[in-house]
Amino acid sequence: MAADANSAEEAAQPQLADPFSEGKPPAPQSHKVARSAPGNDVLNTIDLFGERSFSV
Amino acid sequence: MPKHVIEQGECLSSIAAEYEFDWKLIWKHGQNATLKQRRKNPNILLPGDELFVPIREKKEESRNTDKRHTFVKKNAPTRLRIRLLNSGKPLVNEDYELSISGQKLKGTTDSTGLMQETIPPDACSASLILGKEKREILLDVGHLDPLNSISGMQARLNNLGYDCGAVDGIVGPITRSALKSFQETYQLNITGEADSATLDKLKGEYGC
Repeated sequence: MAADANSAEEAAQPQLADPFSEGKPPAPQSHKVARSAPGNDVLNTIDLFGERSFSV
Repeated sequence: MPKHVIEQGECLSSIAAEYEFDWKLIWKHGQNATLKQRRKNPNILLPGDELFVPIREKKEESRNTDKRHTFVKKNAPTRLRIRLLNSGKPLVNEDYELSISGQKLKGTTDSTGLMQETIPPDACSASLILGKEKREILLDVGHLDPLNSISGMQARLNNLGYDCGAVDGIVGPITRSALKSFQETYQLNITGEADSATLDKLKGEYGC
């Protein structure tokens, strides 16, 4: 399993430099999706531009 | 009795294909009753789940000799169904190219933003290229965990645009912030907790 990016310790780490600042596009994000089978239709939803954040 | 321990990327469709079974025969087997109750959806299992796979039995069919007979093997196709949105609105009539297991499948999303393709049951990763801009998104096929697991909730929130960071199965500040954002959008109690109302809404908005 990947390192805990959600832990308070990790969240407190300084952010990495913006990859665009080096002229490199960010690596595409991978989306975890489920398969579908006849008799068990499974729908996935991906919002490509819906990057939302909560502001207090 | 053979038990198959689920690994990341596996689901009943991929396992049924591996053992050359109809997935329904495995799922309906009495030895899988507990798992069936716990997981509800056979194509969304959690790594570590144990699935009973029955031993295949030899079946005989009597037919007349000196005649040609056709036998059809039941082989349920596995599909990938994704509704694509652009900031909450369906991505309608968008051309796409899905690269999966060495195949390139081309199509166009429908009026609801839906793309669906028949895929090899064991395909685990894919690349989806969209529109004239050739925007690429990567897919981990069969990697979606059940909704009632933290990792499953995180993956669904991420896919809907509510950033949970890494799908690590731990509710930390990033995941709580994503939950609050989701709850705010759908006018739920903003608690940052994965309560039943939030999970029900998440299932409805995501599709599973």
